[in-house]
Amino acid sequence: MTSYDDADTVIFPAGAATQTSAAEAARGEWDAVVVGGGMAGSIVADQLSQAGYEVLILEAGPGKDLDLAEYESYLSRFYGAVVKDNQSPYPFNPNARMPRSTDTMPVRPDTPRDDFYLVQEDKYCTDTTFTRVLGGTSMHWEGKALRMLPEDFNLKTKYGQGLNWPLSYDDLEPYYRQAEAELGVAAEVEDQAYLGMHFPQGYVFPMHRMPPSYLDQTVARGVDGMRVNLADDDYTLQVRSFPQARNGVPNAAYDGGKGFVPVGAVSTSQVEEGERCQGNTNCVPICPVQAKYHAGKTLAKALRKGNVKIVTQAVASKVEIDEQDRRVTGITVKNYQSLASDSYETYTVKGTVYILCAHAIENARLMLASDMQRMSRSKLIGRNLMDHAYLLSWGLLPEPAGTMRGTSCTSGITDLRGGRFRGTQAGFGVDIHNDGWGWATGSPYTDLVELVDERGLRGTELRRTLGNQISRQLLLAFMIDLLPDRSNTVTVDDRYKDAIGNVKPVVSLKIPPYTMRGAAFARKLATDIFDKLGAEDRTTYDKDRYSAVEHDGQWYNIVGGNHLAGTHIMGTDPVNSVVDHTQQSWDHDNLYLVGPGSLPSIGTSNISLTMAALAFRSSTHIVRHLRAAKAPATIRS
Amino acid sequence: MTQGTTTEEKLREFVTFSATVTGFSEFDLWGTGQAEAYYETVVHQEGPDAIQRVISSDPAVTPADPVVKSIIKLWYVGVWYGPELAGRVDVAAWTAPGRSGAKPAVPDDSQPGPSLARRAVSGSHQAGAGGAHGGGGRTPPFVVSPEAYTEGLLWRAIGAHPAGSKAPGYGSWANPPASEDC
Repeated sequence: MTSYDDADTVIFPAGAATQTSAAEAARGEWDAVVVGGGMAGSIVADQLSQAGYEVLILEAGPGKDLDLAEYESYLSRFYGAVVKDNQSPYPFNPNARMPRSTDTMPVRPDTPRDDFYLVQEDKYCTDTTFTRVLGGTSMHWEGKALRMLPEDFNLKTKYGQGLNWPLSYDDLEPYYRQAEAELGVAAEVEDQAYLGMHFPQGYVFPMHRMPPSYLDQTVARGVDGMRVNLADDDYTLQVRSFPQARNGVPNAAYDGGKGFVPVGAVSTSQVEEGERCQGNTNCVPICPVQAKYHAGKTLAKALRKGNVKIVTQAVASKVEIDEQDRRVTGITVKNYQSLASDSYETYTVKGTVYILCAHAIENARLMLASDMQRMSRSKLIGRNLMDHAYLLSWGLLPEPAGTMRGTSCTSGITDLRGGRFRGTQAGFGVDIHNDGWGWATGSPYTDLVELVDERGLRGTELRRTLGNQISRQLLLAFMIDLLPDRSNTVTVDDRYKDAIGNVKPVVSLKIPPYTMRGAAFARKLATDIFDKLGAEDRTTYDKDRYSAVEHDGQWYNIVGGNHLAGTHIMGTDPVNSVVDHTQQSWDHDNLYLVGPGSLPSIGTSNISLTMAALAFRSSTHIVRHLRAAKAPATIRS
Repeated sequence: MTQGTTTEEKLREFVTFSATVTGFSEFDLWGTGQAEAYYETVVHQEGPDAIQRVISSDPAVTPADPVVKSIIKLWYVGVWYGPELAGRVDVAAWTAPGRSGAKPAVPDDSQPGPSLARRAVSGSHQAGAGGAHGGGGRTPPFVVSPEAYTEGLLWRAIGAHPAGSKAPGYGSWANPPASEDC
């Protein structure tokens, strides 16, 4: 029987992220070189390490030891930051930039500004982000851990849209369970067995579901049982709990009654953190107590065996390829000294296999910067860029509902994730945001400014009005499917480079009519839900913003989901895809591209759990690859 | 109201005045531990006479002295928004915690990035570090200190806690909201 006190601190070996010198990294041949110390890279490194292989991780961002002091420095930076965007806990780093939504606007070659990382030349720009520090985007992810629906894997066959996967839900199901254990997912099977999602007999999630917020309960009173008709089918809506990679109450029935021990905070010493979620309402951009999974939890485990080494501040700048046999011969690294200096050391690291785990945009950027499209038979590197299209709707409930409490989001509406309507319009999931209108309007600070500055309120009247107004906020975020499309791209352009001479990614992402038909339906549904709840609709869209999209004569704002995927999709042959079902490159035998870039579609599930499941699955193939390449497997001391 | 002469007396007067305009008790305000830092912030930004000026002003007069508005917001969220930023909802939006993608655009004349966004991550903007007073320039908004954020009174006013701090505990969010009497 497990209990509240069982969350284990994960000891990060002191000095592990800083002790590997350039000379050591560049010595001889590693069994595997992993680019990127985020969720995918950490899982692969841990799995290969367990199989006895020596792994070098190259991390472009900073990160000393993942100890509590470093984590607290992120938190303190967040508290002290005047612009509290979703990258605000992480240091500005000219040598390995990351996108910030504050920087989003069209960029022109002649535009005299250097405050952007994602170059976007179109009128429509995405404010999507990913994070480049040790731990990657898992440091700031929200922690929703939904599986993809069985129908998401064969959308083309079923509904004539998007692409089929070379894998089925059943192929991935055991790896979903492995990912749910690694990430520590809190959910109940009875909530999650819908739209064809199935689980083995007797399976339970590692932890019980997060309690639905009072706001969820308020919305459920209006929504549960609501009926909608879509493409001649009737759907009955209900508010449903989301699975979350966040420590809760362990399920004693887990693993045949063995129970589950939650993974606590990562530190170089034992600490009293990382236990149950306390309701900090700050999953994005940082969970202050490490109740939420981040890749450091896996990384610390990987480092324990001693055969995984990390070099941070090491930007993979070029994949070296043998022109004859097309095998990767090394990865050239620019290892910068500090965030404050643009001086760096260049060296090449070598491995038996190379695994790019740098997330969809960086994997594509690195390969394109290495001129690998020339050798690609599919020419699909950097194509089919995807991200969920978010449409926000917000309203004011008639009674206080306790908004601004709980995890960022505990429940939503998932009944329209799948169905025959997907032949003509995108499916979507709906998040009920416990953090109010913040995402859409900047509440509660904007409410404060309105009441103090515009309405001249002060004293107890100010205090009461704020309390009454903000506790009634309801934000519904519609997460809408965006299909793979070759014209949505990441490219590189020598005109745009960062401080140490690496090219920046140029992104072009258009929101197609298929997605916008889903958005228009979502907007109508939002107003129906608000009516049902007696809420006053306060939604406005601005046609002059970078996020403006017109559809059927109406303007909408479509914002980024930070669910970047699809830049090296998997498929059935070297012409229709960049990698096979094991995420092995079709064109370069000893290269694996592990991460959301391999997803041929994203459906309506946040991508991380699927990415993690694929990382576990690929790890088994990479182990086999190494066994064959190194038979008998030798383990250097 | 008699005006104090020593720094300690001036600080007490500042807190007494702040209690009136914020709707929180002096006890609450002292409890934040921020009184000195806020006092110094106002003095640095608006000059040594600014606090006496607002204290002496007729509270019934509207619109109030914009410095009063700055002081209220300072206690509520720990951010110094200079009087010239009164009413700037767009600037406020970017300083609020939470995802920023859909927030109102900030006009170019006070773009919070890049300089502001970078300063934000450097953590160098502390109370008293380079005030607008005497410099003639406009000060971008800043968070007085990391603690000033977590001590913001706004969160208490709305029956919640600062995003990322002072968490109420596992599962507490499932219960109906409790509002404080004031």
